[in-house]
Amino acid sequence: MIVGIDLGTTNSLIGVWKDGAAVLIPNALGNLLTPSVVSADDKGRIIVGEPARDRLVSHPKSTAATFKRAMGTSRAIAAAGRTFRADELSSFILKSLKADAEAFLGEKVTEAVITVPAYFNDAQRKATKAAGQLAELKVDRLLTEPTAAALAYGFATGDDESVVLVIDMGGGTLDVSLLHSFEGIMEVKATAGDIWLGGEDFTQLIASVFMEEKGKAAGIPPLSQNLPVHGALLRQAEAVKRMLSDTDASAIEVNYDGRTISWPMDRERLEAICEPLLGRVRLPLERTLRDAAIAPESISRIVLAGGATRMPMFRRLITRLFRQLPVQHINPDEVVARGAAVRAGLVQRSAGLEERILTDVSPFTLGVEVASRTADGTLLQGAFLPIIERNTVIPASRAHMLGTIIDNQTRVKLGIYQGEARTARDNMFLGQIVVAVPPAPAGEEQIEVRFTYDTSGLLEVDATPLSSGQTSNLVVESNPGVLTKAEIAQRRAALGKLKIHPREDSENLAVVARAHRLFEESLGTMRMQVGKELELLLAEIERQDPQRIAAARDRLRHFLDAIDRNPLG
Amino acid sequence: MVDIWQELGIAPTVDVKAIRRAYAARLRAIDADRDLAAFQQLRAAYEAALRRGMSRPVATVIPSPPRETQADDPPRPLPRPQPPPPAPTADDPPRPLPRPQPPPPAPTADDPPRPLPRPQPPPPAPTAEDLERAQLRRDVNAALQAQDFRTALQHVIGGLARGTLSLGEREPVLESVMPGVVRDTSIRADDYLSLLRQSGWSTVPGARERVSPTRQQAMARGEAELWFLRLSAQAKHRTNRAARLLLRGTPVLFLSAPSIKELQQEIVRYRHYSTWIAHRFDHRHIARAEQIAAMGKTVQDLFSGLVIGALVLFGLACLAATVGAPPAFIGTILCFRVAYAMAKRAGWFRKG
Repeated sequence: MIVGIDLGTTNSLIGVWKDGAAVLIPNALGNLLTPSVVSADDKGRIIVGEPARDRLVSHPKSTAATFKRAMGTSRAIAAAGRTFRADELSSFILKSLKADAEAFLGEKVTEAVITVPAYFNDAQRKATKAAGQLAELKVDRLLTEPTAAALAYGFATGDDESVVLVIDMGGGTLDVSLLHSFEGIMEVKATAGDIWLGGEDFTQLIASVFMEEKGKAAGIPPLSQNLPVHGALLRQAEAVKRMLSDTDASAIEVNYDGRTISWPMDRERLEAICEPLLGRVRLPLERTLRDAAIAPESISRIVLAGGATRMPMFRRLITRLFRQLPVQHINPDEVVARGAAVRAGLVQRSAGLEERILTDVSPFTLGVEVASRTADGTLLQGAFLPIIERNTVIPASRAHMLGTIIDNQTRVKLGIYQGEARTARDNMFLGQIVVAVPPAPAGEEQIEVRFTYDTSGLLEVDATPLSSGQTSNLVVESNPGVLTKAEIAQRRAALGKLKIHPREDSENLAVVARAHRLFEESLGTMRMQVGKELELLLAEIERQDPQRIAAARDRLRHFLDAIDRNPLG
Repeated sequence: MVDIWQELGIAPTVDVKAIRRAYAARLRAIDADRDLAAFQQLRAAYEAALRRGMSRPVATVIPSPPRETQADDPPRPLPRPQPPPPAPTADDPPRPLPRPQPPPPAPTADDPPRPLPRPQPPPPAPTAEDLERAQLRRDVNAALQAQDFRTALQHVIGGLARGTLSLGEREPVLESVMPGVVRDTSIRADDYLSLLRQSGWSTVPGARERVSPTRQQAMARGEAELWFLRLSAQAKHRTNRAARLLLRGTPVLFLSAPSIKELQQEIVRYRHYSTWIAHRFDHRHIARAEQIAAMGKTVQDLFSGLVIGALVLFGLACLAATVGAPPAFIGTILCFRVAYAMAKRAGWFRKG
C-alpha cells in the first residue's frame, strides 16, 4: 500500500487514495493532525504527537519540536537526555503515522509519497528521504507541497488551462509557486519562498513583545532559556493568535511566581505587532511572478494552504495585492496531505484518477566558481557562474565551456555552488572537482562542464577537458547533513532499540500529559483538583483494568476540557 | 538539430494551444526520469515553438510603462486607484467591519473569483481602502513635487508592504520614483541599499525576466554602493593602505607588491563605479593613488635591483675569499640562491 504523507513543521498528516477519493487517516486519538513533536518519558521511551506536545510545557528539556527546519543539517537536537538529528526525529513521526495507517487500513504500508517545501534544497530532500528509510518506508518520490495543494484541488483535469498561484504558509515556512496546468499536465513555472517565515514566527513575535512589555517587569527570565513558563507563554500566544482569527479581543494570561500576568490583546493591536512579518510575504510573491514572467492579472486561481493562511490579515493582504479572492474551500491544514494522497493514488495507478504528468523546476541556481581577467590584466576571483538557472524545468542537463586563466596551468579546481548571490562564497558550497589539463597558454585549454539535475534532486557534474577527453565526474551526494546508505542502516539498528510507547497507550499518555501541563499552568484550588483527578487515573492505570482505565480517563478528560475552556476557573 | 515541429509532431503553427497539446501528447510517451536526452530535446522544441507562438503580444507579458521618465520631467502622478476587492468569501469567519463598506456581493465558496474589469468608475462611497490609496497618492506626489525622492520611495515601500498598492502597480510606480532616487546623491550608501532591498529591485533577476533600464541603473548603483561600503569598512583598519589611500588620501611611504596590486584593482573598480559614487571621493586622493599605483612598480623594481645587486656583489666577494678559506663558498651559494629567489618574486623572469 502506498500512502501520502505531509511531514510538516508543526503538524503531520497521512492520507491514502481509497475508493476514488483522498482519505485522511486519524491517529490513535482520533485526530487527523499529529503534532510534529517528539518527547521521551523518564524511562527513555519515545512519545510522539499530542502527548509530546503537551510535554513541551512540562518537560521542555526532553522534548523537541519544529525540527523540520534543521533538516539536512548535522545539527544535534537534544531530546530525552540524548541528541538526535532532525531526520531521526522525523522518522519517529513517520513511524507513528505509519502505525496509524496500518491500524486503519488493516494492511502493511511499505511505500510513501512525502511532501517537502518546494524551497527544500538537495540536502534537505535527501534528509527527508533518509527519514523515510529510517521509518522503513520506501520513498521513491518526494512531492513539492504547492504541487500537492494544486492536485488536491483537482486542477489539471480536463482541458481547461489555468495559471494557479499556490501560497503555502505553514508553521515554519512560506512557499510560493506558480503552476500552469493544461492538457493534463501540471507544470511548475516558478517557485520561491522564505524558509524562515511561518506561523511559529508570529507566535514567537507575540511572545517576545509580551516579554518586552510585561515579562521583564514581572521578572520572567528571557525567552532563550526555554523554561516551563516560556512553554506556557508560547501556548498562550498561539491560542490568542488563533482566537483572533474569529473574535476581536482576547488576552494572554501567564502564571509566574504565584502571580497572574494578564495582557489584553485585540485584533488591531495584533496586526500592528505582526506588520513587519507580513511585509516579508511580498518578496517571494514578486520573485515568483517575475521569474515566470507572468503579470498578476493573468493568474486564474490563488490557492491558500497551511494553517497560518487562516489569519484574516494574511488573507486580506493577498486579496489586496492581487485584487482577487483566494480559494480556500479545502481545509488549509489538510490540503497538502490530500494532494499527497492523490499522488499516492497516481503512483498506484488507481482507477478513477485521470493520468496527470507533473513537471517540476530546480528551486536554486546551480553553478561554478570562476575567475576572470579584466582588460588591464587584473585577476578577479570568486565570481559565481550560473549553469542551471533557478526555475529551469527538471530533469535538465546544461553545459558550459570554461578556459584556463594562467599560462601552463595544469590543474583546474571547480567549486560547485548553489544559490543566487553574485559571489561564489555567499552561495552554498556543494562540492568540488579537480581536473587535470595539459599545460598550454592561458585560455587555450577548454573544459566542458556539464551539470545534470534529475527529478529526485540529485546533481551530477561532469568536467571534460577538450584536448584529453577524460571526464571527471562528481555526484554531489556527500554532504555534512546527509546520511550515507551505510549510516542509515546503522542508525536504523540503533533507533530500533529505542522503545516507543505502544499505540494503545497514547490516549492515556495524552490525557496525563495534558493534566500535567494544566497542573503547572493553573493555581490554587484548581491545581489541587487537577492533581487529585490525575492521581485517580494513575491509580487505575496501575490496576490495569482496561474498562476502569477508560472510565477514569474520560472523566479526567471532561474535567480538563472544562478547565481549558475557562482558564481562570 | 532536429526540426522542432518534427519533434513535436505537428505542422508549424503559432497556435499556442496546439503546441501545448502536441507537447502533452509527446510527454506522455516518454519517461522523463529515465530518458533524459529525449525529455531535453522535447522540452527544447516545445520552448522554441512557444517562443514563436508568443511573439504575438499575449497576456502573460508584464506591461511596460508607457515611456521613460527623465530627471527633469515633471513627476508623474500614480496610476489611478482600482476598485476595492470584494469582501472575503463565505467561508471567512464573520467579523464586524470596523468601518463602513458597501455590502459584499456575497459569493459562494465554489464560485470562481471573478476578475474585475480594469477601467471602472470609482465606487460612489469611498471606502477605507480608497481613502488609504488616495492618501498614499497624495503623499507620494507631494514628495515628488518637493524633489524628495527618498520620502516618496519610502511611501511607496510602505504602500506595497501593506497591500495598498497591488502587485501589478509595483513596477510602474517604481519606474516613476526610482530615477530620482538613483540620481539623489544625498542618500547615504547604507540607506540606499536598504531602500533598494525593500523595493524588491535588488534581487538577482530571473532568466526570463525583462529588466528595465531604470532597474538596471538602480541595481548598478546598488553594486557601486556595496563596493563603497566594503572599502569604507576596510579603511578602518590601519593595515589596509590601498583603501585608506583612496578614501582618505593617507600618505604612504612604501607599498609591497601585493598592496600595489590591490591598489590597482581598487582603482579599476573605482573607475567602473565612478558614475554613481564619484561624489563620495576626493578627486585629488584618486589622482594621487593613480600616481602611486603607476609609480609603485618602478620604485619596487629599483629597490629589488639594489638589493639583488648587493647580494650578487657579496656572493662574488665570497667567491674571491674561497681561495683563502674554502668554507666561504657556502656564502656564495646562499647569496646567489637568495638573489635568484628575489628576482623570481619580483617577476624578472616572467614573459611579457
